[in-house]
This record gives sequence, structure tokens and C-alpha cells, in this order.
Amino acid sequence: METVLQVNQLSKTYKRSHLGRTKTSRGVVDLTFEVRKGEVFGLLGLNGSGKTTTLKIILGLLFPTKGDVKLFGKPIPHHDAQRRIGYLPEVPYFYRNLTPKEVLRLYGTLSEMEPRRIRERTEEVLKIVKMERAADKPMREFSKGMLQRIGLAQALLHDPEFLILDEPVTGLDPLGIRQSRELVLELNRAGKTVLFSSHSISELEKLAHRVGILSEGRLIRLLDESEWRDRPGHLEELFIETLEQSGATL
Amino acid sequence: MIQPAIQALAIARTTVIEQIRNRLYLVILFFGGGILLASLLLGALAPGHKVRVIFDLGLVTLEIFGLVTAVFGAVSLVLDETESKTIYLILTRPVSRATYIIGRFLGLVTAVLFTMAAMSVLHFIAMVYDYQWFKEFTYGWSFHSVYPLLLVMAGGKMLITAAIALFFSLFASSQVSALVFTGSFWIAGHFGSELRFLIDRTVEGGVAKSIVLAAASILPNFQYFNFRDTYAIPHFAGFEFIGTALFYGLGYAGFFLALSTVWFSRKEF
Amino acid sequence: MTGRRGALAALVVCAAVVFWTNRRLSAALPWRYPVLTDLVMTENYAGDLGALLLGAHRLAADIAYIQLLQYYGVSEHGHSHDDGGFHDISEGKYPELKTLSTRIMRLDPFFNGPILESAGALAFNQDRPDEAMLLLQEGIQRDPQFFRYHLYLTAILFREKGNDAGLIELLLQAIKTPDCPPLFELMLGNLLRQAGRFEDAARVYLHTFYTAPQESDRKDAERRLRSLILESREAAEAVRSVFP
Repeated sequence: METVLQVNQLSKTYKRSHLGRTKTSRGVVDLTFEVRKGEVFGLLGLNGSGKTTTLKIILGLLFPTKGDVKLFGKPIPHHDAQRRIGYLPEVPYFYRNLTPKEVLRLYGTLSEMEPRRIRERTEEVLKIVKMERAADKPMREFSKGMLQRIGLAQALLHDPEFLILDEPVTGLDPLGIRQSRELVLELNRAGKTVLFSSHSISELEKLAHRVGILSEGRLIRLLDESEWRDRPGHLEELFIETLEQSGATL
Repeated sequence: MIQPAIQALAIARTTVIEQIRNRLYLVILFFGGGILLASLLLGALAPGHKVRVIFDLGLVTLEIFGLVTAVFGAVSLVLDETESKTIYLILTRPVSRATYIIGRFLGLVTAVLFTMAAMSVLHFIAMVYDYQWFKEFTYGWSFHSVYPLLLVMAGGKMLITAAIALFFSLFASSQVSALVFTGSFWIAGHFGSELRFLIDRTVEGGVAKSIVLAAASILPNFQYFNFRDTYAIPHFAGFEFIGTALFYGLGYAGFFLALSTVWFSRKEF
Repeated sequence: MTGRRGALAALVVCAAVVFWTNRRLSAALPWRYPVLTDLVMTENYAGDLGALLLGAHRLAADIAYIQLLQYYGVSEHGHSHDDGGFHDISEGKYPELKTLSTRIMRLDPFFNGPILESAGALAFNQDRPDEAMLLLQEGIQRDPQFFRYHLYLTAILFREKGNDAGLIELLLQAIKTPDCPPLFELMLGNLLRQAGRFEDAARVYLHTFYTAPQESDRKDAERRLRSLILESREAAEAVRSVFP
């Protein structure tokens, strides 16, 4: 099966200098995993386990200390590969004085879309996330949930093949969470590959084909859906069990 | 080359819109306009040279507020964007860091020049308000040739200032520190020529002299652009000087822009 | 990484451009203003310094001029020019007049108007021709192309030597320029009156009355016109003949 993302022996060490002394801390250590085309892959771990660091390295916001990452078979950073991914950060921040239409126009241009296509897709994605009515309002007036929806809209705007979602249900109400889940399922059925990190074990349970458990920067277990499917709540048990076995502090 | 240019222009456009809709920007414009109108009062205290006072105060105000716009713009656009993570959604797209920096710079310069253009309209109105005195002030020289040139040279100064402000905003921790750094360059840039002149004539050789002269050469020399002070000096400068000065301005701004790109290309978020 | 390499290359190219253009510009930019060490020490020294650090020579000179007017505009006996009545500006000694004028020149040597006005006030109101001449001589040194410094210096010398005819001819040239201080116009009017050229004197006073920027000068011109009318019938006729 074609591999969309390949992470190989990835390590990231942070160095902080203060008054002549350098402190190092580890973000991720010898991380190796892959995401196959058409699957939903979940990254699960406690706070500080390295989920966000991993995503940021893949996206080019951080640079690895060791190891390599390949997107669509190309080592990052790669221009063509970046065009094929859509990213939703944990808390999307936008230009407060711009409207959703203006912001999507900017992102569409940056994603090298044609102007006509930007206009068409803007209408489509705003409909998908149910934000058509707020299209011309400045975003300083938006609630957290509304911003999350626009975040999803900009991730989908250029119709990417690979979606990277960092805590996609943060800030959403129960209805919003359900709508978000259905949308991810629909996108996956349409052939999109999804990588998402989450604290929400129940969402991972419902969506993911495979889950990687991170602890203290290391991938300590890789689970397949056959291990928890049709056993609601079992993923959580597997998660706790894995952490206890690894000696992680709970 | 075309796609990065389109992307840079899109970022520039967004920058201008963000700036103009920013309340702080409107406050700056309001205060600048207020000072220009207040120059009418100051001019009244100098009978016989009323328009000269309005002219001089207006041009200094234009530049100072251009400086303020550049610094606060650079900080709010880059520093705030970095801290608020708005930048994530740009850098995770197929946009090079150089394109981002250039786009931001173009937008910032456009916003600053817009401020100066708006204030120059008010300035012009204040000068021609008493048309009789305006005619006396402009007796013997061509205001219509000189005034646009003064604005162009002030714009050259702003080009350099905006590039320096952008550079400092990439690693300054606050608006105040960015203002202090950029303001220091502003002062040093006006003072450099004089310092070099003084050192040359008063100090006898040595390492200290070499260091000071070298520093004076590296700092931007805003006296090249200070036409608002020097336009009346007989035979001061011709078109060759002006052209070379603008080339200098582009080179200096380009240097800081390139420096910003080099620094920014290794910045982690 | 290509972007970074491109940026490094741009850095080198821009540095070369700056280096080359800087050399050409600095050679072509003779320092024309007095330097910081030439600034006159007054209580406003800090302000002058601050303005120069912002590259605002002209503005600093403008403010210095306004302060000079405030100094010279207040009588040392305690009332100002504009207190409703005529005030003779030859009253008072104004010891700082030359210093404050020099301050303006050291900030902007090309701001000629105040120097001419001060030289005139020193020479003809305050009867301090030596100070006036020193002021004008420094003006000539700093702005040798401004011919009116030479003109006014000559006028003062003529006056000192009692050469009224020569002084009248010189001043007739001087008043043709729009920035001629009203003081010189009034002095010319007086000289013409003394020479019996009442019509010419009336024309000069009338010109000052209509064009002088300061109210005190306009009132002065009006007073002299009235006094001319009262001098003699011939003088009165001359005044009536020039009125529009």
C-alpha cells in the first residue's frame, strides 16, 4: 500500500541557553512510523508526550535533530508535498480584522489555487462547516467554536489529499464534535488520508484505523483497530495498560 | 518566480488590510493629523515665516509618524503573529520563508507610505491655507518640483526604517524593545555623518577612530535622504546624487530584508 | 535551503551595493551645517541637540526663531508689543539678541531672514552696529552666496560713515526683495523723508503698512505716515497723492 507519510528514526532535542548555561530537553526520540494512503492514523499520548512536536516537524515548523521525514516519498521540506496537505492546528488563530472570505482568499492564493477555484471552494467549504452566514464578518467577533470551524474550512480549502489535524474537537460542543467526526469519516471515505492527534480516546476509537501511543517522546506501541473495534472503551484500557508497562508517570 | 510573487503580493495585501483596520493605526493617523493642524498655530507665532514653520514641522511630523507606523506595524504584524501562531497557517503552506518576509515587508511599506501620503495631503492644505504667505515662501524656487522630491526622499528613509523595524521585530520581545532598537538606528542614521565629520577632524588616527568611522559607515546614513533640511542649500545635490541615494536605500533595505530571511529561515515555531 | 542560499547571496549583493553607493554619496555630501560643537549654549541646548539627533536642523531653527521673537517681543519694562498701544522696540537693551540670533544661524545657516532682521534691529534700533556686523560676517562665512548679507553689511557701514545717499541707494535695492525686513523699509522711509523725498517716503511707509507681517511694524508705519502728514503741507500733499 502506498505510504503518504514516513517518519524514520526521528529525534528532536530542544536546547535553551540562559546566562551561559545550556539546558537540553527531548521532544521526540527515535520515532519511526508510517501513515498509509487512505487510512486514519491517530497519535495518542499524555501532555508533553511529543504529539505536537511530531506534527510540527512534519509540517516544517520545527527542524529535526536527527532522522528524516518523507511526505509522498519526498523528504521534507518539499514544495509539492506541502501543497497536498491540509493542517488544522489545535487552536487556530486568524487575523482578527479580516473576514473568513478574505482569510480563505489569502490561504487559497498561498496554496497556489486559481482565483476562480478559490471563490468556488470558499463557498463550498463554508457550507461544509456551516459558516456561510458569517462569511463577511470580521473574525474578532467569533467564538472559539466558530474559529475552529473556519480552521477546518482553511484545511479543506485546497482539497488536500492528506489532512493533519491537531486536537480537532477542541472547543466544540457535543453536536460540533459529532459533526466533526462525521466529516472526517466522509473525507476518509472520499479517499483522504488523515493523521490526527487527540486526547479524546473516544474519538480515536470511532475514527482511527491505527493508533500510535507516544510517551516521553517515544512511540511505545502501535495498535490496530482490530484490537479495540466492537469493544467500546477498550482503547482506553489498552492505553493505560501500555503506559503502566512503559513506566510512564500517570 | 511568478507564483512566489503572487504569494508575496497576497501576503502584502493582507498586511495592508490588517494595518488599516487596526485601531492603533487610526490613532497614529489621528495624532499625526492633529499635529499638522497644530502647526498652523505654531506658524502664527512666526510672522513672516509662517509657512516655513508649517512646512518644516509638517515634514518632520510625516517622518516621525512614518517611523511610528513602521515600528508598530512591524511589531503587530510579525511579533504578534509569531506569538499568536497565526503564522502557522501560512508557513505550513507551500510558501517559502523568503516569500513571507518579502510579502510582509511590501505590505508594511505600503501601509507606511499610505500614512505619509494621507498626512502629506493635510500638510499641503495647511501650507496653502494662507495662500499669500505660501506664495512668498515659495518665491524663487519650484515648490511643485521640490515637494514631491522631498516626499520621495522621505519615502527612501522609510524604506530603510521599515526593513530595520521588520528585522528587529523578528526577535524583539516587545513593542517597546523593537521601538528602542529601531529608534536608535533612526537617531544614529541622522547623526552618523556629523560624527564622522567630527572624528575625522578632531581625533588623530588610532584604533578607536577606525572603529568609530567603520561604525558610522555601517549605520544607515539618513542625511543622504534628509532633503527636508537640505533642499534649500544652494547647489546641494543633483539628480545623480538623488538616484544614487535611492539605490543606496534599496540596497540597505534589501540587506536587512535578506538578513531577516536568513534569520527567519532557521526560526522554529 | 535554496531560499536560505538565495538570501545569503542577496545579502552579499546588497552589502556590495551599499558599500559602493555609500562611498560615492559620502564623497558628494560635503558637510554644510555647523557641527554639534558649534551650537550656542543657551537654556534650550538640550532641545537643540535633540532636534539635531532627529535630523531636524530647520525645525530647530524655526523654534529658535519663535523664541527669539518672544524674547524681543517682550519689553524689558514689562509690557509686550501687542498690548493695545504702540511700543517702541528701541526701548530695552536685549543683551541676548545677538546670542539668540547666532543660535539660529548655527542651527540652520541658510535661514537668512531672522539674521537680517536681527542685524537690522541691532544696528538701527539698539545702536549696536558692531554686534550687527559680527552677525552678518558670520552669515557671510556660512552662506557666502547670500548676497543680501553683503548688502546689509554695506548699509550699516554707510550709516556709520554718515553716507546717507549711498545708504538710500543700497536700501532701494534691498527693499525690492520680498524677504526684506520691514525695519529696513522704515529706515529707508526715514532717510527719504530727511532728504525731502516725501512722496518716495510715503510710498515706502504705505508698502510697509500693507505688507509687514508683524502688527507692531504696521502700526509703526501708520504712525510715521501720520507724522509725515503733520510735518508740512508739502509732505501732506505727497502722502495724499500716493494713497490708492
